Amino acid sequence: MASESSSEHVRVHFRRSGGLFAGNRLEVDVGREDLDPAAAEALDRVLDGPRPEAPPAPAGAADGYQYDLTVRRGEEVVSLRLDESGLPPELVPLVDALEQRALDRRG
Amino acid sequence: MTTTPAVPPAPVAVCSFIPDYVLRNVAERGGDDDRRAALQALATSGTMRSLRVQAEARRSVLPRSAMPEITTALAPPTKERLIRDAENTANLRGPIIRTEAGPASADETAEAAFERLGATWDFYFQVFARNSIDKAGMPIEGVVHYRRGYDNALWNGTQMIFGDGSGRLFTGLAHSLTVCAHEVSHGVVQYDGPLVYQGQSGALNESMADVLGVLVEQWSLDQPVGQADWLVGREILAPGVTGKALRSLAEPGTAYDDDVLGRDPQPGHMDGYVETDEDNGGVHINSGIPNRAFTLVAQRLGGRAWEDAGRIWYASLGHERLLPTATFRQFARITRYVASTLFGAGSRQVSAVEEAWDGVGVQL
Repeated sequence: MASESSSEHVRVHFRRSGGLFAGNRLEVDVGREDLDPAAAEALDRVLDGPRPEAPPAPAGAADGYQYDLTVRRGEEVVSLRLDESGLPPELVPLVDALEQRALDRRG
Repeated sequence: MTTTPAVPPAPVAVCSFIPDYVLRNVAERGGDDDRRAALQALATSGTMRSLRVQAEARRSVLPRSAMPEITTALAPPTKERLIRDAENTANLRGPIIRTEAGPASADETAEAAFERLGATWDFYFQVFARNSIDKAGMPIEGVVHYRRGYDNALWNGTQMIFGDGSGRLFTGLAHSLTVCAHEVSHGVVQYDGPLVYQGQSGALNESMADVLGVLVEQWSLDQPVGQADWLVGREILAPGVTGKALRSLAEPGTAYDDDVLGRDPQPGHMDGYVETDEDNGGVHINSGIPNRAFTLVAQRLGGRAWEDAGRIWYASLGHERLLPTATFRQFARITRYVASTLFGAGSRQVSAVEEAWDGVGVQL
């Protein structure tokens, strides 16, 4: 788990692309301190593991969102590419929180 | 002078009382009753053929009791639809709220999905003698009320999934026939192609779903090419959004220009091809190029788009030479070969296909 001191320096960049149409793109950059506890805990798992497995989309699947997460803690950078149809359950709170924040920002 | 590309025809294995080519002629040229009977016979013939192959394969190792139940295959194909309610969660195994045999649902979104998925099944059966997504009677399963305020619809490999929309961008996605038919058609691509969902093959996958999706609507309306608007998702833009649809097949890049959505990024020519790592390599962006190629063929040929142009595209999707990683150029060559096989090497259909691909900058 990330300590209180290290958590101050953790940021996640979230990008959503894909979906049924090309214009439904979202992007946001958020600090760990601005996330709810469940989302922050999921973020800690990305950094300190066990790293969630990100399976590819099921064969033939189409129009799901593609999520790109880049997590930074100091010099450490972890990048994940996730498909909506194969989203690891333990990362759902994080993706939901980031997606909602991006939507709120879009207005 | 037009020459026929050297692509060998797909093998055809026919063994029935009435040959399939006769049934196809009746299906294409007969009166309504004869046409319907021929289509049912063709679909049953396809089911029988696959069962026959399975039976041959199993005969030497399985007891007689394990043989396929042939009598079920003799019944004419029928629609089998199923609608689940995700209850605004991501649960894809939520309660079943509408079935083929059951009463109408009080949920209007469930009814909308049920009706539109049914119209799509009808199109594939009546026009292409196809028995559902997998050609073998697979139930059409829809999920409505997926997540909360979800501005999307998708095919997950087995189900069509519809959000209710946020009301800021979209309203209920199951209320659009072209969207429902688009998602079902991704299933068809999965079984006929498949086309890998990345880069140009992914854009072809998207384009096939768009093309077949709008053809379902045009067929439902018995709409000639001259009356078609070639739009996907016309019904679901939320009030206040500046645009006419999610996509325009005839005029890529013109569907919307909105403060929130931005501007429609689809190109209609290879000059505007977008290289990106987003959206699986721009599958929803560069699909504008083959989309426009199809509309150019249809507009050149006139009549009903699902007839000549639709036949060429659909047969190309199922062609044995179509690679899962096909490029636009490879697909274009197959459409030309299919057009020459169906209509003759010097036909106007072949000329229309050649001119269309040239018009979008894809060199044959």
